[in-house]
Amino acid sequence: MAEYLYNAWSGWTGYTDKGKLPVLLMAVLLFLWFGRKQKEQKTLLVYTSVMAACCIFPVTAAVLMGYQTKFYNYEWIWSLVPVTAVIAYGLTVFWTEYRAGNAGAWRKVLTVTLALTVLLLLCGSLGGRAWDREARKEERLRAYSVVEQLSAAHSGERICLWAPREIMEYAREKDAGILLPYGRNIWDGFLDAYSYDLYNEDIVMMERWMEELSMTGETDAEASPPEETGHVITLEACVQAALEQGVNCIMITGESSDELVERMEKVLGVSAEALEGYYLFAVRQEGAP
Amino acid sequence: MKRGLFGDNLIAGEIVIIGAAAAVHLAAAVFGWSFGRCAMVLGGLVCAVPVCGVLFYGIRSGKRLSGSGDDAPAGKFRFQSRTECCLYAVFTLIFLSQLAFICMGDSNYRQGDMTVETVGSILETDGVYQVNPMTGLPYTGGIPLRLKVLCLPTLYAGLSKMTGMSPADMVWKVIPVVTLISSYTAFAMLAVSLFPKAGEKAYREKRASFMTVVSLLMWVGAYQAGVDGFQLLCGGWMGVTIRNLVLLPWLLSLCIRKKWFWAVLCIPAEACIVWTLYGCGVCLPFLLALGILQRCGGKSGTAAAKDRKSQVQTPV
Repeated sequence: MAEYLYNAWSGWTGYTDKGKLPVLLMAVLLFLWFGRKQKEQKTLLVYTSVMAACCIFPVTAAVLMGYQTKFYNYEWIWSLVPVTAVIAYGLTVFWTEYRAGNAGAWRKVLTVTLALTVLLLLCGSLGGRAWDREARKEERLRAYSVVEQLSAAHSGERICLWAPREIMEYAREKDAGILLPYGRNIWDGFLDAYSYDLYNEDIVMMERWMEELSMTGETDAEASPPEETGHVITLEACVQAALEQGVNCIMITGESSDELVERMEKVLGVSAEALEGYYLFAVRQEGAP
Repeated sequence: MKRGLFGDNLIAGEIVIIGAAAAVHLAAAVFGWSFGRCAMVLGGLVCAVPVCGVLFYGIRSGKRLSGSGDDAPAGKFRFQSRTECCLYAVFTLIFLSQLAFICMGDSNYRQGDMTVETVGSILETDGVYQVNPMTGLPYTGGIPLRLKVLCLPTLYAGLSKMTGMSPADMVWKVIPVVTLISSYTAFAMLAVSLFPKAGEKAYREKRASFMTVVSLLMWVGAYQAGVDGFQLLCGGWMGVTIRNLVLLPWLLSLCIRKKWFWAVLCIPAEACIVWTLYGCGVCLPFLLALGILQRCGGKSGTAAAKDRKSQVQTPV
């Protein structure tokens, strides 16, 4: 419960950090309750006011979070509040009544219309993006191209690919026939909720090694043993673990040092092939078609 | 059962398709049907629903026209005022910009979502949840039961197979467009309910204004996951989006119009597409709360009306 309470409180601050639609909702509710005499949709107003209060107050928000299951974050309890519908209803009522009360004074009506539009736009992030779409698109297209070439080169064969994160991320999206020793749920924790499967130590070690190699072009993990595994992560140990997992295609960044590529060739017994800025090591396993 | 509007029938048709997908999905997940067999049955059902809908709607419209003697034939629409026309023009522009945004295909928010991989795995293995979509390898620990019963991946895989489209195009382009149209249909139904013809001055302008504000709110709200605008424009394939932007506005409009039979349909539909607490998601408390409030409001309204009547009748 303490965790829910903390999430409920931090969730509210996070929810109102980027955009101010909940604040606009409050303003609209105040107008609909106290700004006019008629209340045509009283049921909707009562429901929205009560539910909005429940979503803001941490204790009730924590209860609602418990109800919606741990699968969802704080912001999803706002599904219970018809935010868009009530804001649109309130603004429509305000605008049409103002217009009716100022018939003929088109300048006043136009000014109010523009002011309302600006107010509405200010409640968003003013064009600020939730993530860098352009960079993500480029990354995806590049990964698609690599995966396409890989699939074409090994057409009809079983491919089990171990590659840097930016390739693994999109590999199964592009070609569901490609197998991976670990999926993107290893770095996108939300995806862990979709299955009870867990990754063993070897796979975690492989991911960490590949990540370090992708970032630096080198891997100096051999000098500093990680606390979690208690043993040194070496290229040889990682490759051995990968082969045990059934991996037959290993891809490393093209910025890797010559020494590392040579070591890799020696361990796997195959030559590196250049593939769109990566080195590919295709291993033919015993019994493979 | 009270008669619904065209939009009601459209959304009800979608719910029927979700129901059919759920039945086929369960057959595959529980009884181990192959996906090919599921897709064939699903294809038949998906094609049958619109055909039946058009026939049903045609017969009903024909009966209504021949019986009512209404001099305004159905389908003829004229703007009441220049303001209404301008508002709908702005709405159309915003709608088209959103359509283009979705069709560009790089707006999809995939953090915490693996629908494309799941659809791809279903097509690849010819079975539902046979492998872990993240790796393509058989599950070692299995998957939660509440996830196993959700039918959207099977529906998308079926549509993908029928049309020959790639899972990514189906999930990130086609389905979000359908959701966008369905969402505006649901909000249009809500506009009709909030601003009814009887007793409302300039009700059509109000409806047009409502739709314009809703469409603008979708752009404004495209800043963060969980906000309606963001879900509609960046995650239209997700079950939560369909619930929040199609089922809930429609449910609200049905509650206002007191069409309880149709409203109840939303509860199983949500249970088939969204991870809920054993089927108790948002639609159930939403419907219960609005139903109870309307009943209380109706009772107190009737009592107040009776009081007023007796005061008028009592000689002072």
